[in-house]
Amino acid sequence: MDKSLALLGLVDSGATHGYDLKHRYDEVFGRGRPIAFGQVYAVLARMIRDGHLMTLGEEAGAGPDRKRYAITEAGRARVRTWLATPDAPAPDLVSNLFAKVVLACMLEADADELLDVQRMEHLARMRELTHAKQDALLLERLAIDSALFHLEADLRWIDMTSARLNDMQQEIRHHG
Amino acid sequence: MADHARTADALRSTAKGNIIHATGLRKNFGSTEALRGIDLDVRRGEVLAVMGPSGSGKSTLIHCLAGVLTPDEGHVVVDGVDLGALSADARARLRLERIGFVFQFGQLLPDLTAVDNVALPLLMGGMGRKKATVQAREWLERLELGDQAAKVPGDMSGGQAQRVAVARALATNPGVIFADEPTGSLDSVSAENVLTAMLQAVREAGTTVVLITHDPRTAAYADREIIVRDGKLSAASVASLA
Amino acid sequence: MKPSAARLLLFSNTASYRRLAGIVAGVAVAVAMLLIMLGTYLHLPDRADRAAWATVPGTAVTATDGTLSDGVTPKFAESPGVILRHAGTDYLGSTPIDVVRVAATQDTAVTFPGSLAAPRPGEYYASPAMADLIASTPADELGDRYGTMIGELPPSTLKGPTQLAVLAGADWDQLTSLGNVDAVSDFATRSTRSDSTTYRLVIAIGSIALLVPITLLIGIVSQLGAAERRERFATVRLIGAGRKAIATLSGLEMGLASLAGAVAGIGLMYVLRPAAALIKVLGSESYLRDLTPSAGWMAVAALGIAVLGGLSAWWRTYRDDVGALGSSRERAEKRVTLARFIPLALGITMFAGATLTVNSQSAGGSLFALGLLGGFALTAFGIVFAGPWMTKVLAVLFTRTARTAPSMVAAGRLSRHPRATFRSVAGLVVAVFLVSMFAGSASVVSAIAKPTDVAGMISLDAVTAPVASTTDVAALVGALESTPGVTRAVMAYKGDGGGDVMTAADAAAVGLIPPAGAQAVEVNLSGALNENVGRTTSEPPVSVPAIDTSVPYDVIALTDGTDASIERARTTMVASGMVTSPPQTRATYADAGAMTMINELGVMAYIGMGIAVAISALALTVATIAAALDRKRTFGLLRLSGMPVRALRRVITTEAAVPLSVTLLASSGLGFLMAWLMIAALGSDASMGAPDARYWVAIAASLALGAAAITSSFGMVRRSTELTSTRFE
Repeated sequence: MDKSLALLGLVDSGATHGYDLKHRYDEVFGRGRPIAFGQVYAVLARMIRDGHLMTLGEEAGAGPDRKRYAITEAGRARVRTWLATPDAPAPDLVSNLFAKVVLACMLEADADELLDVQRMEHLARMRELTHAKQDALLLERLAIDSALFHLEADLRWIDMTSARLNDMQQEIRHHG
Repeated sequence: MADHARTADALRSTAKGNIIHATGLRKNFGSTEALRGIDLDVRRGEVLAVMGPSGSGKSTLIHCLAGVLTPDEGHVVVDGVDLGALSADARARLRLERIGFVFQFGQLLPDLTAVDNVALPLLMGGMGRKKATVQAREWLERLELGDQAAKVPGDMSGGQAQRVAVARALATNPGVIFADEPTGSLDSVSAENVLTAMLQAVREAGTTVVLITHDPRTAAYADREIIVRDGKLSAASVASLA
Repeated sequence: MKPSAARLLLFSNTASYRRLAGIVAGVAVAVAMLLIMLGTYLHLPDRADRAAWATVPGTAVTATDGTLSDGVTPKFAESPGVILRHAGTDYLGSTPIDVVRVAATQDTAVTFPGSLAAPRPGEYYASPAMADLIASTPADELGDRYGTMIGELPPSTLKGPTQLAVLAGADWDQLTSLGNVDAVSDFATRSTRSDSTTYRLVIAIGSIALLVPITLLIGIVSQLGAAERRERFATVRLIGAGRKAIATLSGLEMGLASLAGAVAGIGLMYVLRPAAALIKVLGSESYLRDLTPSAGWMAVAALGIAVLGGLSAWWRTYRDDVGALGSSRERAEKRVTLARFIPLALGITMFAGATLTVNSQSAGGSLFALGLLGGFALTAFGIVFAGPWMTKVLAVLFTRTARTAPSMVAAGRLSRHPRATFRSVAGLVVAVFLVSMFAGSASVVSAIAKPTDVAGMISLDAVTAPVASTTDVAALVGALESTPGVTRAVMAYKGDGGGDVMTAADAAAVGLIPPAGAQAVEVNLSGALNENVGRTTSEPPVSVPAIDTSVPYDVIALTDGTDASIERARTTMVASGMVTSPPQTRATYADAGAMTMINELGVMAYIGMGIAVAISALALTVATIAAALDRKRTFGLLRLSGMPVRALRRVITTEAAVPLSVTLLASSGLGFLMAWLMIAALGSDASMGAPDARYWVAIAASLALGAAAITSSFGMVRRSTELTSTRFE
């Protein structure tokens, strides 16, 4: 996901210090994967250069984390545009698994088992997420649901691939 | 396995905390091999998801575990009782008293109110009407259906009806519940409500649940899952059971 | 609508074929029975008219030629335009025979029945059945009574193939001497309508009575798979068919099925005719054509039923339309209210009103018949209409007291589907109502007591006949005493008090008790013969000083008691030509033919009720199976969860037994009430007695058939809910 735009959006919701910004980011978006201060400041610097953010007054002896940042009109427009634009689906996972399945077919290994292992991995992950959902806040629950649906989508793709294995094996032998 | 070896094996398994212990299950229908040698232990109190494509033999497996079908080979021990040693009537009695069932739809009697539907298995087990009604109401309350007690299934939403079905399955305090796609005919939100309610009630009572599903998000509510393919458990499943 | 769509809709699976086949079969049976009843109804007056020559005098001739020596009997001059007719009922054993003796001139101009030539004295025509009887009985027991047979009476002169009738020729003076003759100028061709009217009323009632179980059965069959049909219709509606189009389709389907059924029914009628012809009506079995309505009537009936079926299906489909979206939820029945009792109450009121006012107008009045029939029909259908409300009330009570699981399940279904559950048993309930009504009515006709040997009544072995005043006493007595089997012949003479006088010794011989010391006595002979008068002993004979032998009155022949001897004694008396009425015994006097009609109606009624009960049991079977199949999935899943099959059986039994139990009691009570009303209407001091054994047999049979119907569904129920048929997947 696009971290810079997320940070920009957070600033839009209220002028803030860099330090608060990082913590707020972690709270909402960063579950399990906190963002580094350095990354935050790098993004902030770029945003200022691009004219999406501006600084408001400084406190004495301020390091970058003491500066107060606010969004500009250009920045606000940028966020609005980003919200209105749909995202492309991430192909990362699928490309990895696909490579594994093709290799398995070439090497005459058990592609079914490979897919089963991946299934169980996904299911284990889904299990964790589902259990976590029990005590989660609403915002987190929505995020977890999103992850679950994605995992499910992966599983559906795995099922399709599993069903097509025979055809795949024949094709690979032909081209292989 | 010789009888005494079988009994010893069963006792050991039960001692280990397994409520269901099945070994060497084989079942043929005519020339079709539905089960080709399955060993399975279900731990007491766990929620186990059984997954697998259509025709994989998963329903035959469940039928054998529940004592609905007798396997050609192998034996099944449920809660310390060897199903193979029971007559058909005795197995039916066992299902009535110690096993609960939740199906995808169509299990509630449309002419009876929710409370009467839940009380039904209690009555069949010999309990008096008054006591059964009281217990039924308690179960409905526990599943947050107290205000639906006097309604018939036709006047409820799908999710509410399924929760009544869950209450009915739990009413006899069974050791194990077999749930077959319990949320299959529901939308996502109702499905989640039903599953959450069911699992909460089940955890409180310590009941084991065997959950048949092909929906991964439903399977995600379980403690672990097995995948049945072509009459056998997938290697990954077997590895995970070890 | 495209034909392909229609075909898809109507004939999609074997279940729909079965349903249509069921409708065709049901309609065929209904039509066959109704056509036979219609044919009988239409031909009844004609049958009676054909044989009127035997029972009704023709046009009377008044001119006389003075009177006989007894001062009472008129003499008629011989003339080609006049015949003397003497009719009476002769007996062989207790079988009645219509005997008509006719005296005509050689050149008579009177047309005889069947355009036969006038029989000369000593000649006779006999009906075919009578000819067979004469041929198979010794001549001195039967044939000799009439003379020489010269031919058979054709069917155009008979009520039916088994009628026993004789048309004999006789001498003019001999007939005149008998006294009770009519001088007529023709033979009657119209009968008194009273008998045929009664039969027609009974047939009309019977048709209504049979209509109820048949329409119920057809209704149940057409409701098979109703839920699934509704869904299919909804699908077609979604595709764009309108409500009227669907209704029209359904109406056409039902109309065509009914038409096919009606045509099949016409064929079935021909098959059933010979069996139906065996039922005795008006004293005889029936000619086949007397049961058959004309082709025009058959066409009207077939078309009428087709149209009726089509219209009712159209209406029902139109009304039940669930729109394009169908319904995934189970449809609850519409509420049943107390208003359902209105037709029943109306029917009873009409019936009661008709019966209570019958005394103030002629019994044959059409208003009375209308009130009676209309009230009866309304009551019979009213029971079917009111039943669901009673079921609902029972169900509510039952729900409160249900203790076991099967009772609770049954109570649930009864509460929510009172109409469907009652409809399964409605046929039996109505059948019991009919049986009770009939048994109640029949109880008033006390079984005719078989005559027993009672002191003071004429001996059971005696044959008695009134004689002409010109009788040659010595010849008659001599002929009788030389008849094998006759032990004594007694002649009685007209007494001053109007009774018979005979010697005390003779009186004692025939079984009377003369006062001690009397030499001659006067007796009331008919009192001594007739037990129906309500007395078991007659007035005792009165001593008289002497016998005036100038006017012979009655002859009594004592026999050895064997049937043959009795018949021989009869034959001798009849052949002598001196008896003015056929000879009687105590047995034939008791019978007097009145029982014939009642017996025949009784047979018809019990056959009709047997059919009604059989059809009702079939309807119950179909309905029970359908109800179980509707809940196949639920029951199957319950069995999977451990519910034993016997619990399922108990559910199904209870669902039928509960509505059946109370409504049966109510309907039998109602039947007896209606019978009581009818008897009260008859006015006489007859009162309703306890029903006879046949009633209890009929009730037991109804209950047994009901139980059989329910249990026959068990196999189907078990199979359809088998554990392997409700797989988890």
